[in-house]
Amino acid sequence: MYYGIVCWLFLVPIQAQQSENTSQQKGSEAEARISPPTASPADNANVKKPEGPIQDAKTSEDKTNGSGQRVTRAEWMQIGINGLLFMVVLWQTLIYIQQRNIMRQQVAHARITERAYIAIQRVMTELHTVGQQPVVRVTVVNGGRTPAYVSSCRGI
Amino acid sequence: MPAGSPTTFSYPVPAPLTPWTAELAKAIATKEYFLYLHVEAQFDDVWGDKHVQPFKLFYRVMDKRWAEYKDPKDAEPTVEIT
Repeated sequence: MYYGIVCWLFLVPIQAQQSENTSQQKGSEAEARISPPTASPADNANVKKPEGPIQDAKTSEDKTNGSGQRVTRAEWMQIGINGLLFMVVLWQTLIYIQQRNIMRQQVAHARITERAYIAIQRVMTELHTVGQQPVVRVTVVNGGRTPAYVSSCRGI
Repeated sequence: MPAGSPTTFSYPVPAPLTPWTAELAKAIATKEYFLYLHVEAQFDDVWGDKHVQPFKLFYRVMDKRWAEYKDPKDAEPTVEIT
């Protein structure tokens, strides 16, 4: 009984230390997975800083974030693209206006060319004798390209 | 009236041909007289526009020829029927 209690007193700190060690090892492994191995200050001195658009964008972004009023290159590009889009829309609008005017002229021409034209084709007379009623027969022809709805064709 | 198709209209003179003067009787006998015809055709086209087309013709009975005249005051004599 006494031996068992002593063993338990010794075992509890050993198990706690082992668990701490294992947790520290897991944590260090996780850190090793997430972050690359850190280099020494001497190595950092030899590593060259990256150059290129990423670096430029970062610096410009930093400048914009710092001042808050300067326009970045990306914003200038957006402004230029929007301006070009506006010009294209304006150009299309002008084309549509010209097309509308042309269509109006076409309709005006169609109203002239596609209308009906009534003309007299032939006139005949009968019964030109004394005591009888002469009859005049007028043949009217539609010389146009569309039908005509003749409401009346009377002598005046 | 379809396009290109003719239609004939008849216009009977309301009164019988009666010469009331000797000169007119002679003109009818020798066929030396003119017949004036004024026709007005009213029609609508497919665009919905109303058109009034007047025709002014005269007929020379002697040679049976119809012609169009422009100025009726100069060509058409004034005849009073009593």
